[in-house]
This record gives sequence, structure tokens and C-alpha cells, in this order.
Amino acid sequence: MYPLNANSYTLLRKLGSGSFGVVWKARENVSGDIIAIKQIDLETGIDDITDIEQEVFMLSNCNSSNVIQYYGCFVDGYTLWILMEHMDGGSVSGLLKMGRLNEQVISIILREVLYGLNYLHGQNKIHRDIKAANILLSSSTGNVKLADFGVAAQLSNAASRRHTFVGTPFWMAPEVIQQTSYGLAADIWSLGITAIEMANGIPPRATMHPMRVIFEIPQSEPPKLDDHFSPTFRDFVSCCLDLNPNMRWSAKELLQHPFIKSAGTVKDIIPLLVQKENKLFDDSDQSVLEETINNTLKPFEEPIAEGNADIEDWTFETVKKSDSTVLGNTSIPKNSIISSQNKEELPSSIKYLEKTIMSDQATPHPFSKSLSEKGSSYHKSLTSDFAMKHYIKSTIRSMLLNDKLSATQRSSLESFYTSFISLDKNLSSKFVNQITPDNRLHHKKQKRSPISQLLFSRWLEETEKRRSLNG
Amino acid sequence: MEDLLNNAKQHLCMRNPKLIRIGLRQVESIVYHVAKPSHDDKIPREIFLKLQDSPLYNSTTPCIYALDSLLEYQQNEEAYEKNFQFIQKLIDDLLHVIEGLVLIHPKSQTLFEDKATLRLFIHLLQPSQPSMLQVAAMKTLVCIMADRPLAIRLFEQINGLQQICVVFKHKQTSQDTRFQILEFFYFYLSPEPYSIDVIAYRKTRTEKQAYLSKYLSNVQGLRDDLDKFQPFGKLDETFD
Repeated sequence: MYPLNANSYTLLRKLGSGSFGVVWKARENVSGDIIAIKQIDLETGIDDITDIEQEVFMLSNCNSSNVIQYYGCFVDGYTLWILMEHMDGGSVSGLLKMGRLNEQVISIILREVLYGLNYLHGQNKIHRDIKAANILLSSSTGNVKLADFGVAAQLSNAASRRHTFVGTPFWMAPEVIQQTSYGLAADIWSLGITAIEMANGIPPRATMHPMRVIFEIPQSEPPKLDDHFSPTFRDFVSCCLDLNPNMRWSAKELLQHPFIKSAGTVKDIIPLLVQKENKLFDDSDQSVLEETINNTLKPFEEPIAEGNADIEDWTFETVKKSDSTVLGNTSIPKNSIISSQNKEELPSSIKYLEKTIMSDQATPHPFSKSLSEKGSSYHKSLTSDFAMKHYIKSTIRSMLLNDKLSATQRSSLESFYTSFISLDKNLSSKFVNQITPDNRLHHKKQKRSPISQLLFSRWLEETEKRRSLNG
Repeated sequence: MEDLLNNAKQHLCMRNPKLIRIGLRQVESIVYHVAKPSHDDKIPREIFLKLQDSPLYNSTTPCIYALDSLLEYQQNEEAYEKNFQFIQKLIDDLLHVIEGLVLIHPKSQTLFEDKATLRLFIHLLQPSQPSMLQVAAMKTLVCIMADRPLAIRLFEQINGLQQICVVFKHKQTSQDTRFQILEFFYFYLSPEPYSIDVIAYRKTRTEKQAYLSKYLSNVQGLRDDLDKFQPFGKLDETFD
């Protein structure tokens, strides 16, 4: 149906990316058709794609209005391209970013997914990766389709798992995790988790570490929806989430569940997708606003730069007079905005310079206002960097005043000064930080790290377990 | 307590698995009682820690010696085949006790800042080793390396990270081992302590990520997971 070579397509926009796959919105150049293309990097070690080609061919024969259409695949260099149907409404996961879904919408989506699952299971195909991110929507028709199943998902998961074993266990059925033989019922468990995901915005245990999730799922009671949800919805979820695969309802049976039978039409989803697009527009406005905020910070650089000459000259003269008692004896005014932490950290000469900067009547008010808005971290960063850089400059200048300096040394010092001045803000900041003595290096009593404390409590727990076994 | 520690030490150094087991039980008993939370007398713990500071009474040293002899015993196919379950269990228990010793007495970690000692873990991290020992080795590695950048650097130098990646990617490697290795990767990619004693050996997270990326794909994914799920709690990244 579609040509199997990369030159026939124009990649338009990246729709999403995972560990080993990127999905693009693309146009077939001859017909102008818009499709989705999944690209998978084969350098991760997949040798032969004959099996993949065969499976994609099989997927091409899937004919359900609730399953994404696959068009074929080919290899371009080291990349596998899989051609798929494009759905302009995005995924249910994207919809969830606007907030939780209500039960009416959830029931429609679940029913459509069940139609798709019923079709796949009728052909003895397991999806293996049911979750909100893999349920796609059409913003024009409201249609709901399953995506990223079969080879595309297996390939991504296999490649990812082979190297890092970092997957997404939150939707995994207990028998999948335990690696016992599993079948169609694994998809039903994932569907139940997805239902909770749509209701709560996140799957159960989403804030738990994936490793711990993997250990907990087979051992814990199945998750439930709380009392805020209707009895029929809660019952639907329970029918999906039984630890025993044989006790879970099938897709066909679930289509007869009261929660599903009372679902509305797919057109009811369209208004949500319209809202979603409007939200994206609002987000764009927000980013423009952020740029405006950033721009307002720029003018502050000029006043500082203007004042720079005066400050330099003044300090220059002071150092020339060699009046060290002034530096040493200066105290920080009570109303100074320099925090006590800064007082402890900064050398006294830096404190002196900061006092000068802050007490200068020429300091513009917007600067102070900006500080209060942005908080002390901004202040600390700006004034510390500025003061430190200035301190180094004045130090070098004072050394250049030494008449006893040889011509060679003077020349080297001037070169050093020129080089230092030419460093950009980040680099000069790093340089200064590296050469500044750090009090924290010399903590006499070093506290044990959180990692060590965690390891110890775990060791103690396991020790007690071992002793009870041995005893 | 001195007598008990001395007696345990003698057993552990006998290069005989059955005597090693006796010595190990003795050390384990002391360590457990010293380590467990107690409202009673704190003095035994203080005494134990003082004795551990002394080379004469330090318990980790003979345990390392015992580990070496058990691994050597494992190479003797004929003898090992008769007792392999006993030997494997013994090594597992030994590694667990070593964990406790270094966690209670951090100075003992310095005994592992030695390439020859760290190579014992390379022996344990062969694809042919049973999963139980691979897991135990990974756990112990994290314990001896916690707060010790030098041990980590030396382990890198003997190609330890590379070997771990080999095991991680090996087809026969069990899920248990992979999970434990995963935890090690999270540990490795965490910030290292910042102090005058270790700053010379210190690497930043970015440097470690680059190093690990030589042997493993998608280290950025591990890093992202680490930052998001915080398996070790909130990390102090001040100095990275």
C-alpha cells in the first residue's frame, strides 16, 4: 500500500520517543497521506528482521476500527521504520495531563478499547502493553484505537530490557512479572490498571520505585478504586484485577458489564479534545510570557556595567593606598540583604565589596524588586559571581602596581588578566569556585550518607530474617 | 570479647570450610548483637568498635581471607562438587557478614581499597556463578563502596564495571541478579561524597555516566529514573 523506502516520506513532527524508538508524524510524498512512522535503532543488536517483517505483515491484516492500522516496515541504514496509522487527537495519556477524566468519558474509552482487545484476543494476539499512552484518539471522529502492540512494542521493550531492564512495571500483570506462562488475561489486568490511571491521573504505585513495584505487584492485594467512584465502575475494575488470571473477566465478558453497557457515544469525547487543543494554545501564550519575564532581567546588566567603572576606580585607589584596616574593620550594616550564610562563606574583602555595591545610592530600585521576586538564590548567584570576578580583577591589578615586577612577569600577569576577562560567565564562575577554599571540605566529623544509613537498616532486617531461618 | 574475636579469627583463617563456618557464626553472633537497636548497655558496641580499629582484632580482615580460600576451594572441581551447596551458602553468609562489618565500622571499608581484594568480586561476578552469589556480591560491593570513591575508582581500573555489564547483558543471567545490578547502577550514578579525604579520587555524576556509557546503552535512562524515583532518597548534588 505504501512504498517501503525512506525517500518516499517527509518527517513532519516528532510525536513521542521512548528508550529505543521515536515516533514521527510524516507525509507520504506522492499521495500526501499523513501517517505515523516509528523508528527503532537496530544498533542495539537485533540481527535479523525477517521475523519482524513477517509479524508486521500479519499486523497489516488486522482489520478493526479500534486497532491502529500497520502498513509495513523496512530498514534504512541501521534504523527500522514501521509505518502506522496516524491519530491526530494524541493519546489518552496526553488527555490526562489536563486532569483526571470523568466516569462517562472513561466508560466510552474502555468500551472502545475492549472492542479492540476482543478483536485481538479473538485472533489469539496479546497486546502486552495496554496503558493510557498506547490508547490513541481521533479529534475529528472521537474514535479510540489501540496502538503500539505486537512487534513495535515487543521490539522496543526487548531492546530496552536487554540493556537496562528499566521498563514500566506499573501496568504489568502478576504472572508477567513472575515470568510464568501468561496469556490474554495479562491484557485484562493492564486494562484494569489503565482504568485506575484514567480515574486518578496516575497508575497505582506510580510514585514507588519500579524495582519495588515489581516485587509488590504479585504479593499484594489487587489495587482498588476508592469510594469516590461509582459502585459499577469499582466493580468493573475488580473484575479486571484478580491475581488469578483465570478469574478475570474476558474482553468479551467485560463488554457486557453494566459500567460498559451504559457508556455513551465516541462523539462525546470530541469536546475534550477541542479543549485539549485550546489548552496547548494557552500553554504557548504562557511560554511567551516567560520570555517577557526573562527579557525584563536584561536591563539590569547595564546599570551594573555603568557602575562598574566607578567601583573599579574606587577600589583601585583604596588598594593603592594599602589601607588594609578599612577592609578588615568594615562591618555589615544590619539592614544589609546579605544573608548570614553568605557572611560566613565569603572572604571579608568580598563582604566589603558587596557592601559597597548594595549601599550605592545609584543602585536601581528594579534590581531590589527583582531580588525580592526571585528570591535569595538569584541574589547570591549574581552578587557572588560578580564580586568574586571583581575581586580577582582587582587582585591582579594591585599586583601589576608592584614596581619590582620583572618585565617578563608583568607580561605574563597581563596575559593572565586578559585571558580571565575573556572567559564567559559560566566558565569564570566555575574557575573561581574551583580555586576558592571551601570550608565544607574540612568537616571533622563526616556524617554517613543516606545511602549508608539505608544499607544498614536493610542489612539489619535481612540479618534477623536469616537468624530466624538458621535457628 | 577479645577472646571470642581471636577465636573466630583463627577459625576463619584455617582454609577449611567447616572451620570457616564456625568462625563465621562467631563473628555473626557478635556483630548482630552489637548492631541491633538496644535500650540496654552501649558499652559492648563501643568496645567492639575500638577492637575493630586494631589490626589484631579486626574481623573484616580474616573474613576477606576466608572469602579468598572459599573461592579457591570453589576452583577445586572434585571437592567442590560434593559440597557445592554448603560452599555457596557459606560464601553467601560470609558476604552478608562482611556487609554488616563495614556498615558498623566504616574504617573497615579501607581494607577493600585494594585491587587484589576487589578482584575477589570479579570472581563472584562471572556468568557461570550461581545467581545467589552474584546477588550477594553486588550487595556487598555497594556496602564497601558507599562513601568510598577510591574503592570505586580501583574497581573501575580492574574493569569491574565492564564485568558487571557483561553479566547484566548475559542471556543466562537471572532476573534477581539483574535487579541487584540495577540497584548497583543507581548507586554508582549517585553523587559521591565531597571531603578533603576523597576529593582526589572523586568523579561527578556526569563523568560516571560517560564512563558507564562505554559498556551500557541508555545510561541516561538510568539517570533519569534515579532522579525521578530516588531509591536512595533525595541526593545531595551540591558538588556535581
